[in-house]
Amino acid sequence: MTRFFSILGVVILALFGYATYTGWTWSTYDEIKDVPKTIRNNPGVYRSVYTRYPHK
Amino acid sequence: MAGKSEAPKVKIFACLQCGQPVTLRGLLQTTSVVCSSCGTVIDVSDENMQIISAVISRVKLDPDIPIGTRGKLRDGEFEVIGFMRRVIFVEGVGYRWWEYLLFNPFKGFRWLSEYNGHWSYIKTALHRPRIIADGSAAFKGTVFQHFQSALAKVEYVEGEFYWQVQEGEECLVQDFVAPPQILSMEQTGNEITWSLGEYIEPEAIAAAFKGVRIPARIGVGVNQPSPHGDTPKRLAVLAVLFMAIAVVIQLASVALSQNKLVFQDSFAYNTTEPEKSRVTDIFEVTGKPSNVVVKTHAGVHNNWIYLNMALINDETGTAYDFGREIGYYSGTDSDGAWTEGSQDDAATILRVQPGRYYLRVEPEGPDPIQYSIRIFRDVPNWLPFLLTLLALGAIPFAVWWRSHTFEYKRWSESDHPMTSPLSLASSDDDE
Repeated sequence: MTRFFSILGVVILALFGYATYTGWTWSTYDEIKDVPKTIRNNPGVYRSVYTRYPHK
Repeated sequence: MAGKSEAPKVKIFACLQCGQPVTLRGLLQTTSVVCSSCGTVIDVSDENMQIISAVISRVKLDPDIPIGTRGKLRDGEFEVIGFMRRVIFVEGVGYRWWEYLLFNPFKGFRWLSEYNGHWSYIKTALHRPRIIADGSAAFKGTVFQHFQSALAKVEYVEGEFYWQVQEGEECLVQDFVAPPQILSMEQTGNEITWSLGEYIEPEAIAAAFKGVRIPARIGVGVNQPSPHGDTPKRLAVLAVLFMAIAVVIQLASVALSQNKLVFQDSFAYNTTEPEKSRVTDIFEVTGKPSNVVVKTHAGVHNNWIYLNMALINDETGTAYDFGREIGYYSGTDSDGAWTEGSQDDAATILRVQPGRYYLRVEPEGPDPIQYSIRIFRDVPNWLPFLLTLLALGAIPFAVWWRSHTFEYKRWSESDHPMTSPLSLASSDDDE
């Protein structure tokens, strides 16, 4: 058990180190490539995938 | 029966009460013998045998290891020459155990005791232990915790003994434990006898006395060694070490993080505007690929606003699209004042490449609301740290819990039972 926990602890610390380096946290979003440049001039042309009307 | 292949030196005589043959195996070292047929106790300390107590008839009990059985134990081969069943009463409940007297002409006497399938191999202690202030006993550098004090009564006896034993005999017994050892004190009048026992696995008994019936173990023995040993302690040390490393990593992360405010502005949401979506000015995100945290505050009260947002790289056209609802409600009811939700929110986007970005915001909501947005780059993150601490502590805690539950069961029949698996036994608990 001690040996198992020693290995597990090293693995957990490695994952923690990686998460810390990359800034990982629990989050929800979508990454979309190549959105049109015209959004800055006309924000309404963009349609968010998260558009919703939660209270209607 | 196996274990009786070599005939021991014995002396046989007729019982003074019933005339049935009585066998003496302890030769000159025993002082009394109990007839297995009628239970009469006969003084055999000299040639002029006499009855100590006569019993006309009684129920005969069969022990797990019959008299005359030989077995090889830790320090030699011994023969069972007598056994007794003793009992203590606690709150009207009788707790019974067997004690077998073993004899070897060169080694002398030993005892085997059995309670609920748990065995101890016992020798008379040649040195008197020292009782220390908290009621524990110190013996040869080991501290034994007080387990139980009780009046033990001999309920059944058969065979030979080195003292004049008879049914109904009582003595004060005090047990002290330091698993796998047990230290027992027996006091009759002014006479005190100490003995030191060590837990012996049932398999070892079965191997020593081949062919005998070994009862199944029930519960945890008084001096049964914990199967967890010092594993909980070793895991705790490792966990503390790992957690210390995690703290160092986290502190380094906090120290090295930019945690830089790269944008902030306030906005007004107006339901009458035909185009509600808007974009912010462009801001610079620098450093290694790291997180971006979008913090919003909205002046909602018993109201809500939903913000569709996209963090867009002006150079590459990559967009991080997300939506957040901010709602805050309060009021009073029969239970008093209550609140729900918050006026603040934070959304994190991971591994954002450095570059020039802007934020597109499209609000939705029933009423006009003021809201503000602040965007931070490379923010230290506490969630992985907390998850790491939880992960590192889970296994040591589980092992400790099992070990503690084992001890809880051990002490449940003592004078110092634990009140719950979370509270350790203390000699003061029962006072």
